[in-house]
Amino acid sequence: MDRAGFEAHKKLLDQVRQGLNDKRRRAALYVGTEGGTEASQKTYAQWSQSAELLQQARRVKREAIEHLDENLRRFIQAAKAAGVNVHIAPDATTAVRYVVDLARKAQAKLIVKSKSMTSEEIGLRQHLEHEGFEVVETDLGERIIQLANQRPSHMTAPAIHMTVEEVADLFSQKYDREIPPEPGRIAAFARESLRESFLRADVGITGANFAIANSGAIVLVTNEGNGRLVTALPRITIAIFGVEKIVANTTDAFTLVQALVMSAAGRRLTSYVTIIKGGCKLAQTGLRQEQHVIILDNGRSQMRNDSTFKEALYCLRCGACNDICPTSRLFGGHVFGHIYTGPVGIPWTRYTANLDRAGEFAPLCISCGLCQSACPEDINIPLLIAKVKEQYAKTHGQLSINRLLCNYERFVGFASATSPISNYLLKRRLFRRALQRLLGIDARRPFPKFTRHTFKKWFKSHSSFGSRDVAYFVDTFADMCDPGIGRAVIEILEANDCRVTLPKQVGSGMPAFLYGDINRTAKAGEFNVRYLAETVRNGCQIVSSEPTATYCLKELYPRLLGSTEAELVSANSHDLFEYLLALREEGKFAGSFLRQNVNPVAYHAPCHTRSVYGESPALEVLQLTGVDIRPVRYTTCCGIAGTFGFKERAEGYDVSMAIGETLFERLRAMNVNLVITESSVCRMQIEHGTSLPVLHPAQLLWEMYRREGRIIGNP
Amino acid sequence: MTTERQDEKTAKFIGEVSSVGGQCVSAPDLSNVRDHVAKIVSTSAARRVAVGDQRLASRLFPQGAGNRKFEVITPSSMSRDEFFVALRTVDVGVSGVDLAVAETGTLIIVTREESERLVTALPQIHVAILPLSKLVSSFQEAERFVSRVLESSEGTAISLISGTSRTTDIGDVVISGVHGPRELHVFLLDQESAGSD
Repeated sequence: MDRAGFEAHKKLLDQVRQGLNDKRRRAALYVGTEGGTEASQKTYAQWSQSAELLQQARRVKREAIEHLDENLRRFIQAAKAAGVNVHIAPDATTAVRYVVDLARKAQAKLIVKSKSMTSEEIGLRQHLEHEGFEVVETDLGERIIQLANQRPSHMTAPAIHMTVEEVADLFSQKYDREIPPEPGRIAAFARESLRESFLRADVGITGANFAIANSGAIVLVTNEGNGRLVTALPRITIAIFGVEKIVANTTDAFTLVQALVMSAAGRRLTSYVTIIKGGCKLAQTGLRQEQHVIILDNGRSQMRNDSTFKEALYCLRCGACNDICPTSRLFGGHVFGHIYTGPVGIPWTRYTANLDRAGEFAPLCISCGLCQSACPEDINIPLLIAKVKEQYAKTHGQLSINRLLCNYERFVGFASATSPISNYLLKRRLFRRALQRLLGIDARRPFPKFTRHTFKKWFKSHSSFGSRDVAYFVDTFADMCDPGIGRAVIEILEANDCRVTLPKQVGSGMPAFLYGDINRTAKAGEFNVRYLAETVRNGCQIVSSEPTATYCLKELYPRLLGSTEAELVSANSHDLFEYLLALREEGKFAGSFLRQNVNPVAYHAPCHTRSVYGESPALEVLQLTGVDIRPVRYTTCCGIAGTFGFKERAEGYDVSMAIGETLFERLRAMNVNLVITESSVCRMQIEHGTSLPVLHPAQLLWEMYRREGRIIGNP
Repeated sequence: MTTERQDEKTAKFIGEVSSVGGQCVSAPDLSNVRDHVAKIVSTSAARRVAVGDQRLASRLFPQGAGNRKFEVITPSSMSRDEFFVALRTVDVGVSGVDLAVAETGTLIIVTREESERLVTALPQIHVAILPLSKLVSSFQEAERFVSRVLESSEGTAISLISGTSRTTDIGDVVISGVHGPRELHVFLLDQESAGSD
């Protein structure tokens, strides 16, 4: 890595260390973001039409970007016909100059603003203040940020990182009076003090959540009602928004409004949705309000011309990825963000600022994939971030520890072949200290136990019988660390009348993806797809038991390879438990479902399971078999994220343990003796964080089968 | 529409309005609404009531406020600047409704003059009078309505109001009435009597 890369990385590590130590901020962030995720998940689950709405929202946004030029042309035409002054700004400077000139011409003294990420993107307030105008942010969160002289730390909740006490202190200090730390009292004070600004303002500036091409109207989605005052009180109003916000018609706009609100706030609608077409009449004067619209490009056309990054333009700015992302939750948008915060902020920063800015905080993405699962537009954010990492590494080089960890699967092979010596060494403190000093692998992170008696060796001498053909895609952990998982999978499938084969395969290549070595992942994908496609054509279904493997087969490979073979493999690949549920549909699932006398167990849903299936098929199957299995209340990643949690201190380990803290606490509070999770790395993390034993759900089901006599064997 | 389905729609609307922080009651006629408004005004110790349009004002308060203890103002009763000054001390704003959606508890108010909109945006209390005939079941009907309104070339603001003004920007706590109304009262006016008062 070059010098500039090192400097930037050092700065990031400093921020990470500070963030980890700031317990108060961490608590504020966690409460706010977890609340956000839970609220929208609840609405998705409860409102019967939510899935249909999301489907529509995806179609609408893809069409809008596809027909962007036409929509833009029609919007301009319709808005001009309604008396709106339309200005196209190719970049930030042009947009700012237009507003400054306008404010000068109007001899404006006071400008009121409502919340707009686009105005943040071009630094509009700061520029206007620099030109001598008084600018007042009126959204309460933005006002707090303005008084604190910070920038928003979240896409929809700008002051989410601040506690009530901090906000009260800030207001007390800025207004030179005692304001108690009670949200209601602070809000009431803000209402009174901002009211005068509204009434005195000469110019009102807003963003626009959407713009409607066939009527030239803009749509504002707000809860506080400040947007209504900013657009109704001043004689001159300016709306600034990105060119990607234009949709064809009212129906499309309403679809996106609902998707945005459901995802951002977990409600059906916000308190106010305002649709403005042209300037209103000013009472008793015979005049009309002067309405200006600035449509900003600033990198968006470039984004649109890139076949991968085009997807980022589907972003509705709901902030759901800010809420669910484990590291964004931990550090907030001041660390995880530039102007645009959180996961989707990385590709947006890449184009609205530059690659360096984006690449500097991109290492905070640990490729868990949850952002995509929470995204109402199903944007493949993990892939866009991996691309940014790849481009950044091409310019600045790669950290040696990251290069090393891209080879994780080879390392597992080596450790397995050299076991038990490898296991012995990896337990020696001296050896581990040396590993940390020389390579940067944290000495506190336990390695799994490796074995030379691998699953693949066992399978060679195993004969499988059954009437359904299934090919097993085994992961390195089930092969070389705990072959009991692989064996359980095979015997469960055989108990369900499946004949299992093991086609030629290599590790998924996912470890390289985390550090942006997309080519390496694609190569592994190509190899696997070639042989798996062959077995599918021979009439086999593919089953895997590791969520990351399933994620690669079903989602990542087809996206990276774009081949029909990869699509074929994707369509015929299944998580073991999804496969069993499908058998059950046909009435072919083996299991008596007698309530067996088993102690309650806890369940943790791995990120990649949630990312592929939403709800976990394993949980459903185990509940069917009568196990008292209780999902832990937890909505983000356990923190280990593949090899990330193996890196030393602030590079990985400390962050991964800080993320997992809440999960560990809640699992301990459940008072169980066993935790179930599909993912091998979640298992390592939970064992390490709670000291509780953790098993793969296949191992538990295997045990149920054994007790029922469906499998003869020793545990 | 059968009475049963009409009742179901009304019940749904009343429930949804309350779930987003407002209140909705059925009122047999305008004089009943007048009494309700008087009660709201006296409870909140308001001195001034602003009504968005002159027609509604003269139907609701035919003799001004009469012998009541509050003053009724409308945008056309004074100059624009005077109205703005007066609005600072207005605690209750009264408006009509152009369409309402039972499914989401939403009021849709179309305004072509900024002061009409301010009456629903500035005061602490918003009173909305909704003739039953303007209540529709689904949000899709609202879409069609808004599409039609946008076909006109006049400057127009369409406000979809679902509940009270709210924020969670301080410590993730829900606060009502941050810039707009902290109370929303909807009076659902029976169809027949709506025009006869």
